[in-house]
Amino acid sequence: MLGGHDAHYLHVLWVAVSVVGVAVIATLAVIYRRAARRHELEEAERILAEDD
Amino acid sequence: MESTVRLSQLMSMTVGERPATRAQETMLTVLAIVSALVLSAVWGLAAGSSSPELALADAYKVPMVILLSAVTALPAGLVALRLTSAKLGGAELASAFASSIFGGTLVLATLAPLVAIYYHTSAKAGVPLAMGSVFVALATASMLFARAVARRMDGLQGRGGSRLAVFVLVVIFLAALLQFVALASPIIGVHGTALENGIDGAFWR
Repeated sequence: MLGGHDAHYLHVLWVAVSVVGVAVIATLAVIYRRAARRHELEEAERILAEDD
Repeated sequence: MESTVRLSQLMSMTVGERPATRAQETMLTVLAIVSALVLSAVWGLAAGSSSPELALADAYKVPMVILLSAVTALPAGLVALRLTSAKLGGAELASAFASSIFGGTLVLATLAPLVAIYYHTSAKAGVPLAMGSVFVALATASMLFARAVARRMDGLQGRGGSRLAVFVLVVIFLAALLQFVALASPIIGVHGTALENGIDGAFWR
């Protein structure tokens, strides 16, 4: 067993780090949505600048 | 249509092209990570195909192991970048890292059918082939990462600092990967492999 720990301890540890992983994925979703909004704004500004 | 364009842009970023804007780079970085998770899940299905339960578990475990290793390594790379006063930005390092992980998992997913067929048709070559596909993917990702950072440093000073950051990131990613694989074991085969005992199994058997 890893580091002398029993199977139950390692299972709890895996669940805990999995929760961190899920939180990271949720954070990535938020970052993507913000970047997509900023990208749309930049595209709109670019099109307006081209029209001018 | 838009997803096809995004994937095309992601492939371009993986081979070293820079996105036009910072917002686009951020979007492609996140897309690279999400795509890498999906591609590694495909390999997980193949590596765990000795039983349906293991295949389903691996489709979750392999992407999680890669994501957690990347999250563990990234802060160290950013600190190395700052301490060496490298001209490369933290977001650029993260972007290059994400695209190289995407490249590595693309190799894993490409080799997944081969891994699966050997698993079911060879008593001796299945596990070594699965392990080999991991090492090929790791080597590919490391090379892509070094190349992406080198292209971003074109014309800039302080290349030594960014090289050191790449080295630190890769070493810490591998060290974290080894232990997360051990924590999530078994991944390859029902009984696992030597690497699935972590650093103790790899060096002090």
